[in-house]
Amino acid sequence: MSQDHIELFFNAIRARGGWCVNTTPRHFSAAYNKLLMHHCVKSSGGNVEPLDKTAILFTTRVSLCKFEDMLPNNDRKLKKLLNDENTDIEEDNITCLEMPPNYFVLSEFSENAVALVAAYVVRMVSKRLKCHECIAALYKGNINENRVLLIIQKSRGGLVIPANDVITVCHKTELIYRQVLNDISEIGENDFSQNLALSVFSRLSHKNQTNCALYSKRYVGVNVKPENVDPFMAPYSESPKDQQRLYVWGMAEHGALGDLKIRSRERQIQFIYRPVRLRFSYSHKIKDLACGYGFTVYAVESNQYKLFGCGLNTDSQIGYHDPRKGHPLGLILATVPIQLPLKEPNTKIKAVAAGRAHTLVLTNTNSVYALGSNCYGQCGRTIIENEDFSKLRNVNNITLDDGISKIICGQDHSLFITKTGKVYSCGWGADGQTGLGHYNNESQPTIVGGDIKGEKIVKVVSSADCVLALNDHGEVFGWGNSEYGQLLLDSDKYQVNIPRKLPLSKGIGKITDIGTTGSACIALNDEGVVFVWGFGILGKGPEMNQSHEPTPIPSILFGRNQYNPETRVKYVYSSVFHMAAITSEGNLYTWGKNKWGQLGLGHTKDQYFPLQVSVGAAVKRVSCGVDHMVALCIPYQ
Amino acid sequence: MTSVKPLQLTLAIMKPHVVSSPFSLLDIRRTILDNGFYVVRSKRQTIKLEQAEEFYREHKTKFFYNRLITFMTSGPSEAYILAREDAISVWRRLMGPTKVFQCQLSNPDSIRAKHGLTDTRNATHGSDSDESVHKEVSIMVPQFCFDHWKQTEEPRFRNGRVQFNEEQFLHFAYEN
Repeated sequence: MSQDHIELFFNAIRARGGWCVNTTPRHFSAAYNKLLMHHCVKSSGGNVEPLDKTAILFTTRVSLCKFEDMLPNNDRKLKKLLNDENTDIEEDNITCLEMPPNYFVLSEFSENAVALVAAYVVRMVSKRLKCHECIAALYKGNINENRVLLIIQKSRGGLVIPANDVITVCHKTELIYRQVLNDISEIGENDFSQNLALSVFSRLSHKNQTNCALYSKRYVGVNVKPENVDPFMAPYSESPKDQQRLYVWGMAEHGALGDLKIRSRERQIQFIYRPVRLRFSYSHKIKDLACGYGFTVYAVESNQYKLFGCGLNTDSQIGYHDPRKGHPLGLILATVPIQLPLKEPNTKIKAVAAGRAHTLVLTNTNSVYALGSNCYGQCGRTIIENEDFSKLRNVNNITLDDGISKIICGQDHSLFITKTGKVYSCGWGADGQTGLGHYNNESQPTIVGGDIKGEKIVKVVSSADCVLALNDHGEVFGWGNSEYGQLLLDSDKYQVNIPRKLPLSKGIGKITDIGTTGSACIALNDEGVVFVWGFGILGKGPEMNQSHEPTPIPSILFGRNQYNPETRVKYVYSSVFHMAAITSEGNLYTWGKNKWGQLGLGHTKDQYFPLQVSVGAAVKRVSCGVDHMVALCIPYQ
Repeated sequence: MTSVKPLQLTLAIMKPHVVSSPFSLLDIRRTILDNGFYVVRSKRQTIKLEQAEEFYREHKTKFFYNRLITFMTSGPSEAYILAREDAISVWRRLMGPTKVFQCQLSNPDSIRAKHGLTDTRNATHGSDSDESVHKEVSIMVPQFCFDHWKQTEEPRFRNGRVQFNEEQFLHFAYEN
């Protein structure tokens, strides 16, 4: 079953009071009560768009009993309604009429409540009646009917299933009673119960007694056969298996979460602390995504626009956009296409990477385009003193002899892995993060030597100034900043400008994935065990904020237990202040600093151990920015 | 707001990564105003290499000297001369400890914990003593005249004869 509907439903509830984001359970229960009583939840204003014409929730199923209920003239007097049964409206017209949103219809829940009342009536009446046949007539109920569900649930032995006739009488009474409540002043109190009874029975005696279940105009497209299909299950559609879902959360002020800030009813939102789905992935097939500091870029499979971005643009890291000529935007709150000077129109974009203020784009022709700040040479071109990056129009094209297969951005440096497994770097080298044997800025991508010389490097990670690299044998190398012991060196070694092999003990085994925060490192071995070391929130509780050697995070925290013995961590990710892991089931776990809700856990308190993020889909890949995150997901299979 | 004690000056610098992030900059500016600081001078500039070397001369032997210099000269930064009673200590308390990663655990509400990225990109700078205020101001805002401040501006500020210009992020003292 598609989870769209559940999500839509939650969105509808969130949207109800204008609490479009960050709802609390109290909001939820209040909205849910309203839904049950008045079936008036609408899907507008939510974060998700329905992919088909399915109704959100079948509480809104409308059963109309008689055509006179449909009269749009709400203020009709009860008296007139009682006496004047011969209305001329054709029944065919009913579907065309817009539903009066009032007491004429009962919600599913109310119908159940009516049935419960009927059961109580049967119980009380049967105590007074003497005739056995009369009592028997009250019972013959159909236990399979939907409207007796509440009775079955509520009954502790004393309640019975009432006959359909009794329910019908109660149903009519309820409808008429609701009408009467509307203009109670018109009726004398004395003849009220008499009128009520009269009205009910006069209607029951009407010959056309079939219960015409109708759907309001909104749901005409939904094809339901109420007789043999469970109406709660029937109309839901399957999600396309390969349809991508894109979720974002964290700091919204920069605009890195896309058009949420514009679209949201409450424009003041500063951050969103739980995953919110974006529409962007419906219209664009996303190949890769990357979160920088306050901005996000998406590589899209398309013939027209292949690169999109949103968020902070003070250094033209998401392109030059000037709706007013000569005044480029420094902040873009919507996801906009970025122009690239591609030589061939059918060039495809394979990957993107984003740093503090620059973006790298890798194409299938093995060349890299670099946008944004070049103040340290991170775009791979000569540093120009006092260059104004806010008005930067040109995009630098980088090619390497071996062909580039992967691109990685640190905060202010860039790394490239070639097809032969060599590493090139450029940018800020003040901590040795370029690994080139010096601490200067490097403006030309230069091959990195040291211990990785001759190794086939398959992955390089860097979020701040510490770099880790992984070779094809599962060995880890590192360079750059080691102020907090990230590189497992002697404690007085703060900066390393040449790659070193990390002295990981044999027991850790083969490493398959790595990550670095600004002050700590994370590694995953082939058995799915996550190791952390360094300083900060490591994910091993609030007491433990420093470790000089790799220490495992218990697998049970990632959902591996006796019921799910196969669950294991598949990928690890890290940003400057937090870490994340994806398990084999597609569950996302996050931990670390949470100042702007970037962990997506529904609060802004720091998280000291891995906790699952409630994303409504199987997470395939995430990208961690400094203060926001983006997750690319597919529906649960 | 009037004050009995003489106002103290301090130099605050918004480092390049803060200046390029409008949200951080506005938040820090708001913090400055909320804590009763007067902004006596406000200047946006890209610090030159010589300025930075002079500014951080005392750190010349430290391992982080080079990265500090290259970082400070990497883009536009903003220098504010702030005035308040006990300005130096109050501003340093608001900023929090130098090292961002440690600061996040020990002083999570400080400016550096909120807007710092790494130990180098630690959002702001603050002078540590009256002498260093003199020295640092003369490097960053050489036009500023301490004597003029003491004789003319300070009494006006102290008596609250001040107007605030939001666009320039600057307080002006006026004569009666």
